[in-house]
Amino acid sequence: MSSGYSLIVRSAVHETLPEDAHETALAAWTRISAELVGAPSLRELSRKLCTEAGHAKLENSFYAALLRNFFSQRPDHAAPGAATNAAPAAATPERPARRDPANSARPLFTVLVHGFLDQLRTVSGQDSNGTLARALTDAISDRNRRSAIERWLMRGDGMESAPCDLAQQRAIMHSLYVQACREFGPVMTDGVLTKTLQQVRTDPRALHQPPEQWL
Amino acid sequence: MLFNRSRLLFTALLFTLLPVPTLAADLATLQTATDTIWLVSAGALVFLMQAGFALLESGMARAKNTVNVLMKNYTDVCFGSIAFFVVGYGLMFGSNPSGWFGEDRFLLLGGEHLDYSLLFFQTMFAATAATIVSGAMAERTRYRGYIIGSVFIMGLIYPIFGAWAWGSLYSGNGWLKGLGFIDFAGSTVVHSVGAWCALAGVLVVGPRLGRFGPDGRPRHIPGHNLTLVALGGFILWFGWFGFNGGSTAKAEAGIGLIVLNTHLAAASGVAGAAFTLLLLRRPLLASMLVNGSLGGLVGITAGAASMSPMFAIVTGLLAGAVVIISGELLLSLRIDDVVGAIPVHGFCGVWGTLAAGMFVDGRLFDPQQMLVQVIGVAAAFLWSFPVAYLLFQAIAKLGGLRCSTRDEQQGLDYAEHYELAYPEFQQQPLHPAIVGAAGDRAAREERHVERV
Repeated sequence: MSSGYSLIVRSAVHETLPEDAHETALAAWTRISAELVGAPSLRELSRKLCTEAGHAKLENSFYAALLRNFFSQRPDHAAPGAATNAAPAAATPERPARRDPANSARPLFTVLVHGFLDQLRTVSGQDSNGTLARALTDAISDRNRRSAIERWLMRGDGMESAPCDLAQQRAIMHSLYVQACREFGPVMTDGVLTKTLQQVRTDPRALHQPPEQWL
Repeated sequence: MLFNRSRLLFTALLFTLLPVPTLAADLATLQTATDTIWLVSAGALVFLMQAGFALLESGMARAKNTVNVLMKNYTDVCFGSIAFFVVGYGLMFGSNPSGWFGEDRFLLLGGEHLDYSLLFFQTMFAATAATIVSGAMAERTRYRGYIIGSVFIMGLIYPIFGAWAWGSLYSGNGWLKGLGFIDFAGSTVVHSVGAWCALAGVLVVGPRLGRFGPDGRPRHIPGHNLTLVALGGFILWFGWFGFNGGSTAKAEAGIGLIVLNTHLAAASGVAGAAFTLLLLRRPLLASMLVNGSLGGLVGITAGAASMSPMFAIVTGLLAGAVVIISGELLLSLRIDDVVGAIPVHGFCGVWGTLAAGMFVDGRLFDPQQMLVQVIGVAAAFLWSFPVAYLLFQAIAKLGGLRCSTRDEQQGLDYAEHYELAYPEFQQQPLHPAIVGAAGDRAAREERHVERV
């Protein structure tokens, strides 16, 4: 699970911390990664590693390096956002990507929304569930319809009672983007959205349903 | 020896044969020709500043808004130049018996040789005032709304204040000029007026999505290309030699002092910005230092011809500090100025105009002069800010000024211009509207989806 993170953490350790602190920091990372359940918060991770390495003052620089590595890595190198599954190779028309079993049961749009929220949580270290709720409140005025769509997005059921066409899905995705910009800032949101799109494009269904249609 | 004596005799004979009035007329013609060459060359240098603004502003904006910024800089000078030719020049430099605005020379009717060069040179000044606005309002302002605004700035707001301070070239005096207001090349007339219009614009259009957090704290939104920022800064610096040097309107020996002052102020502007950043324990950001040099250039513009080089350095140093401190002030008021145009052109314009009154060579700290400078600075704000505010409000109500949040998400390159500066790095590389007939259909469908 943590193999995707090891690369970016090791790079950040080498880029940011003094050489005599590398060993301590990497040992701390080995211990933390063994206990990790799900995706770690990069902010929290920076704080813990820098404190344990005796360089708490370098926390911000470390966090910046982690973010930079996180956003610059290709999805087939590591996939922290999809931490529960190794990222499949990028899909091409000649070579469709291997279907991800966890995501294949869900509509591609919900994979996009989930991926976006997961990445936001990972990068910001804050809970992003409220972001979706607030975005849906902005996008959909009818309360019953809103809760049905939220159920569909979060659990995958309830679609029969609230059919959601492309226009509605675009409105939801855009509202989510706006809400994320307000809460986390446009730079982080754009980075997360780009990263999420990269990951969704690895799904074989993206050949026929390009994720850009929801932007 | 013999040869030299013969040559002397020949020259003396020539001068006795040559009628004196003809010589004087020839000298006058030569002076006019030299003035024209200098004015046109300086005007061309000032035009190059448009390229500097375009590079600097696009570099400070995000990649997805590059084309929008470039288009605004490229076209505001086009539409604005026509507006300035039709009405602006007449309002600013036409005969001004009332002291408030010019009343003739619209469409340059009745113009002569030097009028053409002056109009050319002054059009570039007007374009500078207008283009200041685009950087401040970048990344969330609709293209059409901005262009309409810039036409009014070049055709009305800038020329009216210009008539007060610089009018007239023909007969009558602007009321500020009559008071003895010193603004040699336009710290206030060009730069502050442009910046107050920009301030009105950013207040009407509001900050970019997510620029300030829920607690009001500003979030840094870095520009996409600091190479463009630095190159833009250098080009502006270079163009400024024409901006200030050309303001003599004639080829004369004083240009040396003016250009030297210009350069020293720019250099010390960087030093002033750097010292201030260090004092505030902030990082020495490249964008801040480039703005420091521009602050120094704006600061010296009013007094470049009337102060000694030592005071040019003082003016530049303090202008650099003004850029940083006023930038912080705007952020604390939640005013989102993408490139720092208001600190650079507005606040440094004010400082430069006051400095021009304080540091007059031979008349240091003359209270009478300083009072006139304060009146001029206040008049510029009281005229340009409210009128520009009403103008942008009217555009916002009638035609739309602020783009939608979806346009902000997709980037204005995609949403407004259908072509991208960096398609390789965009989330949506190709707009349906530019891929032929099928694209037109797709674009229509997309618009339909928008409406749904």
